[in-house]
Amino acid sequence: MNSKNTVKNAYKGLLLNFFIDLRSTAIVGGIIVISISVFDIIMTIIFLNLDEHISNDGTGALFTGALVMFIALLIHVIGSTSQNDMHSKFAFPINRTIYAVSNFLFILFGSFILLAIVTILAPVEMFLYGFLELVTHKIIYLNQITFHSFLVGFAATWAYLLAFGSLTYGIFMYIRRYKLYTLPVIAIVITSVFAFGWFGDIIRFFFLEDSLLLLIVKLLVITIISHILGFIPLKRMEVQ
Amino acid sequence: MDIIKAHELTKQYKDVNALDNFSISIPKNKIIGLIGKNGAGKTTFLKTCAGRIRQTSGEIKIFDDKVFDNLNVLSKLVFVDEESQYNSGYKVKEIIEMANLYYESWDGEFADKLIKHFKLNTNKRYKKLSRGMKTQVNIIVGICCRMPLTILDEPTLGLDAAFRKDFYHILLTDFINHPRTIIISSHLLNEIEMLLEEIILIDDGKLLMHTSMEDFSNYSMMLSGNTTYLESFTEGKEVININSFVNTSEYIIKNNLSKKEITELKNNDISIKSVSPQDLFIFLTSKGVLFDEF
Repeated sequence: MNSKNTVKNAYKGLLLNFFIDLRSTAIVGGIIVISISVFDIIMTIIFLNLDEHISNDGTGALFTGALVMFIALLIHVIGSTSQNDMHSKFAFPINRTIYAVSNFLFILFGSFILLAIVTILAPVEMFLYGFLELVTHKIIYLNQITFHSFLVGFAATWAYLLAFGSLTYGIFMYIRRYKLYTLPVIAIVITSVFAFGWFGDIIRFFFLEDSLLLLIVKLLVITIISHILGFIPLKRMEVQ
Repeated sequence: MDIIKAHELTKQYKDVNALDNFSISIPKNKIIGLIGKNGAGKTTFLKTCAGRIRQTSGEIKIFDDKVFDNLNVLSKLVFVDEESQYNSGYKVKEIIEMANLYYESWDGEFADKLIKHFKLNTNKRYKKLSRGMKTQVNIIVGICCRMPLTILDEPTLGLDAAFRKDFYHILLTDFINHPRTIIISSHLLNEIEMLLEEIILIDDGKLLMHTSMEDFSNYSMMLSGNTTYLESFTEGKEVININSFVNTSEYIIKNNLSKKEITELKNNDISIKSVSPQDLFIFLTSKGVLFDEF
């Protein structure tokens, strides 16, 4: 068996592993998004029956969906750094470099898949509101989403998911390796950021950039740095 | 050719040495038993061999290369853990599908045959399986990947007697058809002794003995008879264990007596019996004190 094939097999197997893991997160996230949308529509119908007039701008499912998937991704990433999860991954022949690269690929494509699910659900919500508008004439449905605005929103949200997912991954790698010793270090970093008034500047610099391109570049930098820093404790981490 | 070479391997957990200057060479294409009591260091040694954990000091080479995080070595071995080792949310068929991707030498036909044999429902999730069924899935992956080094850590945990017998038969048949190095750890030597060509005895993280199964079976003998006579006879000999009952005693000693000594024993009404490997293992690892505190 040559080592090229070994590496290829390890990547194929591990990525399948990661995406099977994502399935339950995507299902749970999708169900929550659908539930919120259904609840929203039921409330709309109730208010319409009370003779109220309602307006909707068509961003409900996209906004709440992205928020739900954001939380789902973070929970998923935290779970995937646990010893149990690593134990199940290292039951097969992989090394730590392959594990780290696969984690990066997983967060990159996993966050895209989660957002894609939300995107699929959004037209259903739009259709239902459009239908209600047509039938009741009491709802003002303003679809403000253009293809361009959708693409911009999608790209920015994907970059945010990627950066926060990677940041969580990096931090939790340290927590898994060094356990409680990590917490005082994180506390000191956060406290000093607040104490020296850098917090607002850092948030503004990295996360509230006006230019989309620059924002994506900054978020990608955070992503890459998080994965590189996360690799340091992983490199010598044991799988008990 | 030796597949595993460990030199003065030590693994320390806080104040405890799970492995203590453990040196061993394990040859190719044999079934080897790693025998020791609970907590003797079996799993620690196997996890070190599988690259799961790093030694505190010493050196271990597998296929003449370091093992920790070395994919070239890891891709030639499989480690079947005594614990549940796959993600609890996976279906059995997904685990098999993954094994097929990871292992180039995966024998899918044989895996299907074993799944049918064990009557496993492949649509069931790993977490929904009983302990025994989980063990069966672990065993299927461990055997069907046909790795040159197959490490089985207490592979029959949770299996009933019939399935255990079945497993040993499957393992032996597969080994005959596809020779490879198989290390099985267990504390039930009587169950696996018929499989083993070599035995490694480990106690308190130290290597107690590494010998062929045949030599181990003939390693000791039990002498029963008059206590006073046996006391004087065994003076200067390697005594493994003593059991005394009023005027009679049972002495387990190393089997290296001359023909003259054996004749002398028989003339003095001392009965000579063989000791089963399981009993010998217990005597060797109990340090001559069995039930004395009770």
